[in-house]
Amino acid sequence: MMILSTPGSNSPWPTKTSGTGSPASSACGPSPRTACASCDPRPTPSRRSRLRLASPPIPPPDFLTPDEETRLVKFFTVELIRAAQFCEMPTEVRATAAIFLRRFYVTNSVMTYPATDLLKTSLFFGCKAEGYFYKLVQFSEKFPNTTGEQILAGEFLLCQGIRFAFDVRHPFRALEGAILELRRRLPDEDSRVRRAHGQAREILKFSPLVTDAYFHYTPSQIMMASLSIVDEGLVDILVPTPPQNGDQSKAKEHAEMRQKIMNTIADCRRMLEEEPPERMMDYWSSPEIVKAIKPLRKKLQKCRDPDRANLVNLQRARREQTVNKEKKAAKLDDTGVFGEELGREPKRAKLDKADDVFGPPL
Amino acid sequence: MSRLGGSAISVRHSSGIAASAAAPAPVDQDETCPVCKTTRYFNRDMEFLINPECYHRMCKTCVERIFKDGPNQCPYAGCHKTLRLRGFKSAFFADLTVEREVDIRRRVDAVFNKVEEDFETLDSFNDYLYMVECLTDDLVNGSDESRRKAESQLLEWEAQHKAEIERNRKLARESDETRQRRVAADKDATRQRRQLERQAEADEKVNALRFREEMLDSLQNAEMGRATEAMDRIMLKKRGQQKRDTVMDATAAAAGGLSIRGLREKKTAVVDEKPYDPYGGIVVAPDRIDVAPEKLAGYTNEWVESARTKTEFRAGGYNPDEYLTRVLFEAFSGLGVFISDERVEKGVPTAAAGGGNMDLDEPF
Repeated sequence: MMILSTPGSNSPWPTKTSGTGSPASSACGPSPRTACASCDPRPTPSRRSRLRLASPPIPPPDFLTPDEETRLVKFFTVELIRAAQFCEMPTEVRATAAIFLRRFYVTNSVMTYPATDLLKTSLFFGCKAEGYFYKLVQFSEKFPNTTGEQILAGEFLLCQGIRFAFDVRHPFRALEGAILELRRRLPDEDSRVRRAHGQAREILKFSPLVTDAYFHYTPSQIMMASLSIVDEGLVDILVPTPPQNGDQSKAKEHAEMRQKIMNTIADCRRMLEEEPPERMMDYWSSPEIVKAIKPLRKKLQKCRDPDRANLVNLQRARREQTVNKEKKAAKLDDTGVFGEELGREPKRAKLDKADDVFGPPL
Repeated sequence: MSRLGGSAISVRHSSGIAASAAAPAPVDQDETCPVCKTTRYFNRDMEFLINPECYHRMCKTCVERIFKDGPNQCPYAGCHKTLRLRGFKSAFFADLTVEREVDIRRRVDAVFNKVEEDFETLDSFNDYLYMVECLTDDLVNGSDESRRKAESQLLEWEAQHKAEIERNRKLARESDETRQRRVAADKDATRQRRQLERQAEADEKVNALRFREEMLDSLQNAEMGRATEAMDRIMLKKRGQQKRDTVMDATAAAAGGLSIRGLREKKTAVVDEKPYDPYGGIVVAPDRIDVAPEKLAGYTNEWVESARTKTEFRAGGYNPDEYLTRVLFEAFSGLGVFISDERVEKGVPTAAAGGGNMDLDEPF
């Protein structure tokens, strides 16, 4: 049995299970107006009250640096890949789940939302997104100290975090196409193509997922880069060459384009070579890396947002607030309606103000 | 009005003919041959022939005498035409100018044989007719120069539109034939109808006779004082018979036998040689990788091969070509898309970097 850190084991706030385990999609009520102690230096009312309670004032914790956060996200991505391997998920599901997690942490911090929980949630949600349906009970049984509710608690949050973009374009199918084309063009070099196919696939299964390749390059570019790591000559064959008999200006344009494509592929290759697939095992077997990540996790324990450490409680609180609000609206008919109207205005202004490709933060 | 050698007429006309042809014929032209001066008095069966080359008349005996041994010059003084025996024919019209005009018109019609259906508008058809008429008039009544010009135009047109003329001629012949067939069929149907009517009349007569006999018989055999009853019975029977007959007639009429004359024939659809092209000539074939089915057959691996050959794959309608098209598309699509070109240099506000403003906590 593999060992995964669970919120129960590393969270100082004990988890409680509630009676209802409905899917997370119903949790779109307003969140409690809480302040994040880790990232909000201004004293908000709730924080002030906590400060008043704690008799010697707590000094602000030592936050993670961006570099440390990046390393942690990479570490959790590798953990996710490991978990997917353990559950024997198909390659596409594994890759989709990993990209979901990475996309989520583009706009959120590991200090805000617990990566150990979201890792499982994104794996479960990746199954759904790829049409590979896994029963929740079976899935949660695979992990120690994990209930189905814990997995579902972060689901809506994850969807919001990835801005409901569930489609991930992978380079795996592109690799099959490229290999077919190569086999057609090089009928005599079957063993060379076959070897390149296997190695490139191994690279695609790991390297682009733990680097930022998916954010910077298109699937076919990633695929070409992985092929160029294995056998550079094959990429040269695949990328279309300028036509021999075309007119000069067009041929020049074509050559420039080809050069640009080759440069992009080379850039992507450099990125992928940072994380060759041989390193995958190192992440959990080599003692140096394990040792290097341990202090980071300890540091994360100290500086993370205590209000969001437990996603189950967070979701329950949100749901209760929704119910309360509805009750209030039901009691005061007119004010409820008009209050709703007034309440929408600031929200719209808020949405307009946040001019971000990904939308406002969660 | 069958004529020999109408199509073999040479088309040259020289000056001088018109003058001689246009000259009013002498009163005794039918009596004396101008060549041998033989009169009808000596030869009862004298027959005059003309040659459309020059329309000079001469008797049959002269024609055979002069042209039997091959082409020879016209015996008329001052006419230097070379005539052939084959070209001679008897004139249909007494007036040779009319004969000549009819010949010319026939020739022009054979060349300009378009019909109204060939034109888009009636106006263009009328223009065409006007043009043809002008040309014909030039040929018939024009001066030397205009005639020569018209002649050359006609020849040129004939040479240029040989195929089209031939086609139109064939069409005209066909429509002629169909018309004749239809007339024949009409005649046949009318004949049959008449025969049927005659037969029906005869049947009716026989029936009436039989009824009469039956009536008389039953009246004879009926008991005394029951004559009216017997009459009634016979009348009822007759009425029933009549009713049946009318019904049968109606069904026969409904089944057909009617024919309407003068219906326009249905046009056959215009068939282009080329197949219909839905793209209107735009080439949609991809530039780089051809995913036409015959090209896709060149791509293979173990899996595709099994999908192609095994019945359990093909029975469900699975088409490996779709898979191949998709993987090839994914292999090359987006190669020329550069995300770094589209990047706008600005910070992405994250939850932490956005000033920690927790009012933005809940965007939905």
